[in-house]
Amino acid sequence: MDEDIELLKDLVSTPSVTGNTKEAAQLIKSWCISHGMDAEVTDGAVTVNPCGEELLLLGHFDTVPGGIPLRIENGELWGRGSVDAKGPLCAALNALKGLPELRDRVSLVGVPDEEGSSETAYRLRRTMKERPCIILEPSGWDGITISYNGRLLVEIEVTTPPSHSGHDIPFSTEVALDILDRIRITSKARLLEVHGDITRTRLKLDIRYPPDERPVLPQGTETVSIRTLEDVKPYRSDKFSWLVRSFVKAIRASGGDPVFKRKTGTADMNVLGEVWSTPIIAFGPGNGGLDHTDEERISLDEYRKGIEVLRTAIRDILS
Amino acid sequence: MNNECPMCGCVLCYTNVELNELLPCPDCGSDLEVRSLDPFTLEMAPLEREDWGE
Repeated sequence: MDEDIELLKDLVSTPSVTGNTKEAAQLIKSWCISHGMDAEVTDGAVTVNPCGEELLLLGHFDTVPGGIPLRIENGELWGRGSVDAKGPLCAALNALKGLPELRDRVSLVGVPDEEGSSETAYRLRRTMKERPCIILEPSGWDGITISYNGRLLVEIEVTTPPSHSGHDIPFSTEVALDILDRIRITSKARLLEVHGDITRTRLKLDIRYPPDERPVLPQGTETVSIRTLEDVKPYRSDKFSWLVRSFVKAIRASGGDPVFKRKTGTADMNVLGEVWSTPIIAFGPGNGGLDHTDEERISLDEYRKGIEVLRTAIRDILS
Repeated sequence: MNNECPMCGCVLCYTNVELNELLPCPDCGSDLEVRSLDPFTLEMAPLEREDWGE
């Protein structure tokens, strides 16, 4: 079997929906140890080469639900997590395997909760000394992710006095939908939940917004209450950093034409980037457009290219 | 090292730059990439595009 594919195949065939990741963590740990790397599992997260303090590779091995049977077809490996983000994680582990001389300078952490609360990333940003970081998420082997949108999860509750349809007094339902329309003028707001009747309506909104564009929400009043349930800040990397240069160089060395990606989703880059001042980018093989879909699969050629780019970039970063 | 900005034609002078380093043109603000050190060559930096997902 192609050695670079071995771990990816094993890991994708091991279900690891957030909250049920123990087996996958042990699999990664065993693979690392069998390839000469130090690895430990703490609070569900796998840390590889814990002594490496010059560069952090941060990935995740939990997935969203949805079983996609593992198969390899026409050069593509199908399965839940193949793109988001076991593919990028396995590519990084294989890159490290090929760099034994640098292992004591680079650590890798695989977290079990990125699709959930990102608790591990929040813990790392509190407890780990800041360092340059590569977030292992799909950018495509010739892509470099330089920004992630922010996410605001809010609950809006509107109350209005009882009224008759023949009157002009708006119902709470109408006021709530009007508020939603106004928010949508400046932001991408998705309506997750709507409950209520003509006197009380509650909306739950998922608002995504790019760096430097904070969504405009209405002011709370006696009849409109706004509650923030989650507030993940957007993050944008410095495109002129040496970390970006190393990836541009590595992609060109592998015959690619680099492209910068601005992601509409969020990832652990938002969590670390809010606090750390060191350069951070996200990179990983795979088409992010397939994240969370029933079509999730990764091209094995793309995956191998991803390993090559990571290996070249890590060498350049630490040179 | 001298070269012209491929966007505005302004003559740029840099020292201590590295291959594939990105630099802003001080005149027009375009993002440029050092594509060769000898001869010193600047080209437009890779493009940015929006992408769905994580």
